[in-house]
Amino acid sequence: MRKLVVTICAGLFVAAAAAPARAHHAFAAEFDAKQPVKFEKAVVTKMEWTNPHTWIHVDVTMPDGRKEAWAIEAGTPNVLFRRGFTKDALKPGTAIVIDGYRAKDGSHRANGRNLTLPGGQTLFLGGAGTGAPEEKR
Amino acid sequence: MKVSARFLLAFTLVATATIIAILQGRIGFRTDGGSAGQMRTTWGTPDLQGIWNTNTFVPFERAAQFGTRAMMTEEEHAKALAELQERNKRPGRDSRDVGGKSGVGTEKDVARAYNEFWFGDKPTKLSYRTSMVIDPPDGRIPALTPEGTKRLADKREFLAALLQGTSGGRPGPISPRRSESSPDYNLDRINRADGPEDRGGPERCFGDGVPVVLGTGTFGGVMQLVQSPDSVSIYYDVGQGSGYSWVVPITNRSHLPANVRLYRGDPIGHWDDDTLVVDVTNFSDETNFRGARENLHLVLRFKRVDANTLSVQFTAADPTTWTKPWTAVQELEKTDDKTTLVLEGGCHEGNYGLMGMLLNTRAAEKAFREGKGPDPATQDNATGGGDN
Repeated sequence: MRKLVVTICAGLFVAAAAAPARAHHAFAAEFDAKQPVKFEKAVVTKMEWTNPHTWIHVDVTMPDGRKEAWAIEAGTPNVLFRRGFTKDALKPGTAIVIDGYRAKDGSHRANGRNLTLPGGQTLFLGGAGTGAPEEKR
Repeated sequence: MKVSARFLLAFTLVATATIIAILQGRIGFRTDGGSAGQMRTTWGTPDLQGIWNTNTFVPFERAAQFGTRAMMTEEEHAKALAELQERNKRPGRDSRDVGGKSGVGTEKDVARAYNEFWFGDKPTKLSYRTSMVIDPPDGRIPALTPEGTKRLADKREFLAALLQGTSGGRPGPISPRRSESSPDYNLDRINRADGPEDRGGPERCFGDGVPVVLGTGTFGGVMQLVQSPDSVSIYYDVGQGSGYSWVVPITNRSHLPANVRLYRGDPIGHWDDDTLVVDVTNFSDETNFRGARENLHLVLRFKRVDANTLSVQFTAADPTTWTKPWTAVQELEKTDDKTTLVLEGGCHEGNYGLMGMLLNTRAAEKAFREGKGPDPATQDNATGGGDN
């Protein structure tokens, strides 16, 4: 019985310990869940290393051959630096796959939910915690 | 022979003076493995400089089962560490499952923003300490005063009202309170975007309150401390561009007049032996430190424990919020200055997100009026919502 109590207590402790940090801002106020986008070949034109969020600018070739310039919102630069992700990581000309949601106003802006590098390396496989409400309970 | 004797005497005097100066810590030298006593600036004060963060998790408040016990047993620690490591293996934001179903196209998937990579490495180390709060003895922030209780409850109720009728809130029609102003100066992420004032502090590049305590892991932020003889800069680079700095004068002047109020207060520093003591008052009603506002009084004590450890202890008092003062301590670890770049926290210039939230909410309202989309008031744009 005592062991059971210790087990439960330790579980509660770690649940509190590992509460994930929340995202910086309300993406749901900006991007539309009903407008998912996926660009199979988005060519990086530049990357803005700005706080609070980095922006990846890409050229996308549409099915009719037209090129469209899109801006993709991504995470904060501070974390990238600390992970060793340098300004050389996404050079202009790099073709990436982007999967995200378009801005509600229909502009050529989207969040970069998942990004995949040439060769299939996915940015980015990860660890714990989504910040989703059910995980905090 | 006489010259040699003079030289020997002079050499002996210089050598003796040098040894005394070193012993007194007046000549600085830095080694990675040096003791705290050796870490001195060239002007003689303890050298606290560097970039500091932590990858060792300590819960802020103590879990009730530990009572007044400050440290875990070996058995408790091993169990808790195993759980932490297990949790780190769980799929994070890369997973698009919501309640076992695909979350693609849901509010929640949008709210998750981007995948796990952008949130950095997770903490892998777990301290034996059961809480950062060391006083009161139960390791928990003291009870709120009746005034503090009411203030925080009023805000909670306001936030809940704005979520009413959405997937992330209680059921019911849209609350008539949607048109009300926030009961306090808003720094929370609320479910409304009528103007910048509706958005949270980090969203508006106001920083993340008064951090003082850093989070754990890559996303937890760093603190950079730079000293001069008459001032100390303490820069917090936390969250996503939510950094700020205190420039602390080392002085015996009084605090600013009571009618001068500052978002992050008026810090004044002095040395108490090897400890830098920073006293901060004159906060404003826009300040929010764990529910305390303009009456907050912080006293921080920075002490280098050894070459790679900085102890940051603080006492927080606010008789309008807590029934008594409380004290917490966090130990930070020295990071590699070369690979840990500290970025300026001032993020207004690149904060396209704030503009995007306001513009896109207007676009959604317009679409609703034209019968082309849902009423934004019925959507949870604040918490990520439920399972829809």
